[in-house]
Amino acid sequence: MKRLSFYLLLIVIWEAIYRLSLWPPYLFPGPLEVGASLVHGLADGTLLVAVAASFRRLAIGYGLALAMGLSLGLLLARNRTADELLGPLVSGMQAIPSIAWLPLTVLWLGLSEASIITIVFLGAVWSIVVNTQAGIRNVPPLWIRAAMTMGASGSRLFTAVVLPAALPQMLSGWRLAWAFSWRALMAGELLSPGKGLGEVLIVSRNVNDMPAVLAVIVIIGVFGSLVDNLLFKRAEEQTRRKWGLAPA
Amino acid sequence: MLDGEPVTGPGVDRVVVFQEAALFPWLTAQKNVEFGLKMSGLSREERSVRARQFLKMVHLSRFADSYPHELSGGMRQRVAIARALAMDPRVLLMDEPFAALDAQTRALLHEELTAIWAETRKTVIFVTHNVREAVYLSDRILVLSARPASIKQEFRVPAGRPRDLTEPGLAYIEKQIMESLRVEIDRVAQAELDSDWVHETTKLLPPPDRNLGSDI
Repeated sequence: MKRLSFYLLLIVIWEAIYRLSLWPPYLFPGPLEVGASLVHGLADGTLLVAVAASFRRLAIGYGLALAMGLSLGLLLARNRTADELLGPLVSGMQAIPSIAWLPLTVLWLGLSEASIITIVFLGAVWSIVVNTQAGIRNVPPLWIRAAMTMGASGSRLFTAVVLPAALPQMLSGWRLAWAFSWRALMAGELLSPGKGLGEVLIVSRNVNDMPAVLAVIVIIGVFGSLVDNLLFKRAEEQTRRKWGLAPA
Repeated sequence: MLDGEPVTGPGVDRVVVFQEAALFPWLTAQKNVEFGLKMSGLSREERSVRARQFLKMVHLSRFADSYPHELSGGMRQRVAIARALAMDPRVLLMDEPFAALDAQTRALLHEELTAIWAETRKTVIFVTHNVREAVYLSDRILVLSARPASIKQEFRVPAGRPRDLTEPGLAYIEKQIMESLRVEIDRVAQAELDSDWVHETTKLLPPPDRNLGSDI
């Protein structure tokens, strides 16, 4: 309730500034216009199609990053040589904003779906690798010893003890990767033609439809935080509560 | 050596209870006790029945569905004991299991362990730095020397249970063990502390309020 009235107040302030006419309305639209544009975009399906297209890219890119990141993280955690050889490379790659790869992927894959998905993948994969590896590395040796005295070994030790013990840190990696891939997606879509949210954004700018630009930005923010809050934050908090890391 | 076989690594016939209970935080007490049984391939029902039986033995039936962080230190150690016993090992190895507990809880668990031992008749190998604990619990006490560890001396405690540590016979054994350990303690201290350190024997100290009889 408190939160709701706070946001209502923000919107009222926005409307008030808009009414002062400090800037021309095509540069600074009011909340009512943005709302109308949002409703219009949803009603004629433009925004829905855009959301679906963007989510499809995200799902594929993020899914691939998850599969690849987990296996690579596992390899780095288990194999010393692999870690020595690939470790510095992974942390180097993590430092590169994935959009920097776009010129290359455009040359290799064209201005296509594959090129954007690659950018999303590159945005997400490294933090999954790093956190998977760190999560497994940080499992207290005492738990492993305890499990071994009870006859666990090999793959059963791994699935029954190492994975659940590493889960909290792996979850934070996934969450981080989600935020990165969302950013990468937007950057990629802004720079290439298609029907995703980023593309609607750039088209709206080109025809000087500021309310539509803001409407898309609102959608991006809402969907990004919805997934983060409903999926990742909830999963993370549930583990934390179970482990006793957060006040119940 | 266990049943004529040399012991080289971990095994299910010799389960360890660690100083920190080493329970898995993502499993409930019940599931923690079931863990070893699951590893040895028991069916779901068998596991569940057995785990409940041993949780009952350590008097934690009510907390079967609690997670480790919801339990006190003493309760966690009870779960760890139940988890070890559920494996039905030949030998129960305990590595300073009560060292991190407060004195009252420890005393309670001493009685508990004695009762469990009387019921299950398992051989228990119990490592401790607490000589009283050793005298209270054991039939046979092996004093180990400081690094490199070797068996320095063996004591037998031919007393019945429950034991009363103020009994002269037990107090005497405790004192002898302390003397046997004194040399080792000094050796460790000499290796760790400055070279000018000597073991000072207690001198006669004045009473702390420096009262020399002025209140007479």
